[in-house]
Amino acid sequence: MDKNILLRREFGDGNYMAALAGVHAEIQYSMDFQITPDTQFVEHLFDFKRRGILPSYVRLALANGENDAFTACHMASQCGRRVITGSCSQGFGFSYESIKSLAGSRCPVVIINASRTTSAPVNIHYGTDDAYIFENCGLITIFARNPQEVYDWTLLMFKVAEDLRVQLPVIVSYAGFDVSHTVTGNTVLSEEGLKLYRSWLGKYVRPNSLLNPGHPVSLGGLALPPFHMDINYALMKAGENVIPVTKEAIKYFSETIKKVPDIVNGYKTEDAKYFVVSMGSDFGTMKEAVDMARERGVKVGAVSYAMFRPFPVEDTITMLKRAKSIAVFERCPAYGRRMGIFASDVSTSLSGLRRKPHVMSCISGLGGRMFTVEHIDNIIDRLTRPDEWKNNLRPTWIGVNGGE
Amino acid sequence: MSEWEPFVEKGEKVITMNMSAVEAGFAGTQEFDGRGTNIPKAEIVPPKPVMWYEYEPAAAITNTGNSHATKTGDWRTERPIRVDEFIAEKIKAGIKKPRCIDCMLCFQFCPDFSIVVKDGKISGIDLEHCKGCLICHNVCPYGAIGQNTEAKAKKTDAKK
Repeated sequence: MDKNILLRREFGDGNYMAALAGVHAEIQYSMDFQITPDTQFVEHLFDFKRRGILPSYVRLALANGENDAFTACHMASQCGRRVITGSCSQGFGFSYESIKSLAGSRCPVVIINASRTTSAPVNIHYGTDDAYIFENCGLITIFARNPQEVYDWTLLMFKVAEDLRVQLPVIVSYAGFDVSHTVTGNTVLSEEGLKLYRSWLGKYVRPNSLLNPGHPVSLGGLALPPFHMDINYALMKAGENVIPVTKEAIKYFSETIKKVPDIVNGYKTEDAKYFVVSMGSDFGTMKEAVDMARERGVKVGAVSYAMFRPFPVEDTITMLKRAKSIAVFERCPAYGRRMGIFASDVSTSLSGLRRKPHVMSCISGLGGRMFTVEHIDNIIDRLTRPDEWKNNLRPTWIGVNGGE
Repeated sequence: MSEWEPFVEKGEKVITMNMSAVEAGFAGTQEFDGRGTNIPKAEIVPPKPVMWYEYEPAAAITNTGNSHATKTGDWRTERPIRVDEFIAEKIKAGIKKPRCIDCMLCFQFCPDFSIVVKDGKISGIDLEHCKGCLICHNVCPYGAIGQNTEAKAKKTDAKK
């Protein structure tokens, strides 16, 4: 099939692409509460309905707070409706209970997260601490690097989340303002592409839907000690299916429609001895720093993780096993621990190797602070001398005035 | 009057539609009594373990009317007793009259439907589900339901 027929160009920023992906995936319900920088995602959804691009039977509702929004989306999903919704930072904090119970209730809701640093003090810029709030709740967490990837991953994740082997909620996270408000030229599905995608995606069929009078069910029951741990185990086992199902989806989409990024992506990693690892849109800066360091002769490569939870342990081992030292960058503070959360995941995934690489945990770019190619180049330089930092008892903070 | 316009247009059809829905609901109800009609000994067996793969996703409960399978009787710390059973020999001998006249007050007030009725008469207390709240004891106007502590009652059961 000529790929050009299935695709067309569209200009939009991260929020627009997320709303468009929801429209293309034929959502049936959304209840949202707006929060900077996620507001325009909600506005675009309502605008699509006003313009008739989203059919009129789709119910879009405004909430009285994110807690109400996520509870309503939970109910709608239990009634067998395909749901998309969005929030970030304090909104996630406010609705922690509602969002966490989505996982236990096995509701495949797609949650759009235009990432913003959490309080206190208040800040509206990019920081991944809101995506990290749910790192241990059983949700799937994806980091997109640009508006194009926001669109691609949202389309893929509807398919993955609704798969009967998975049935988990998804957070698609991308940088607030840096990605959510930067307009780029993107490739989206045309009419023919939509037909193909929608026939692949299918209808959302929920095994035990609330709105089925011929098959009454009780949902949200109480699980006392004889029962709770086994139900949790079943949730964990569903998480084990996520990576195989995602790889199937990526394979089909890449072969049939267009190329989409992998779960773990590398740049100049074939012959690299030193690695810089990140999630999300920092990858652009990493690539430039890698090029700069390679001119000096340092064999360094950049790795970008698209999936944060469930953590791709096997892909980590495949990508990083020949490393001497690794620097892991993340935009979430780490208090009272040896390494940041992402760096801990990378480091413990590699803990079984005979020659385990040294992992340097770096905290950078908090609250939207800019960190530059020179900062990363400085870290790459230090990677070649692991004895200086391998016994550090806390992460290295980059870009702090007067401290490290 | 304007807010009633939509109903006025539908007219009597609304009433007939609603009535047929009510009648269909009533006709579709099924009587179900999951309790035993005999009075079992108050020995609660713990449920056997359920394997993690035997649960529905999200632990959805798909069999209706299953609350009888949860034996809440083991929550009891005090047990109601039917006095007529204790003085059964004396009633037979004619010395005492039976206290219970089947007025059904205990049956109406029991929050757990644990008073068993058979052929229009009170036949016993469902000890697999009775939680020992003693509302029946407090409500009976004839003193036909007394109380005992569960520990003592279990000792007496063990002796029998």
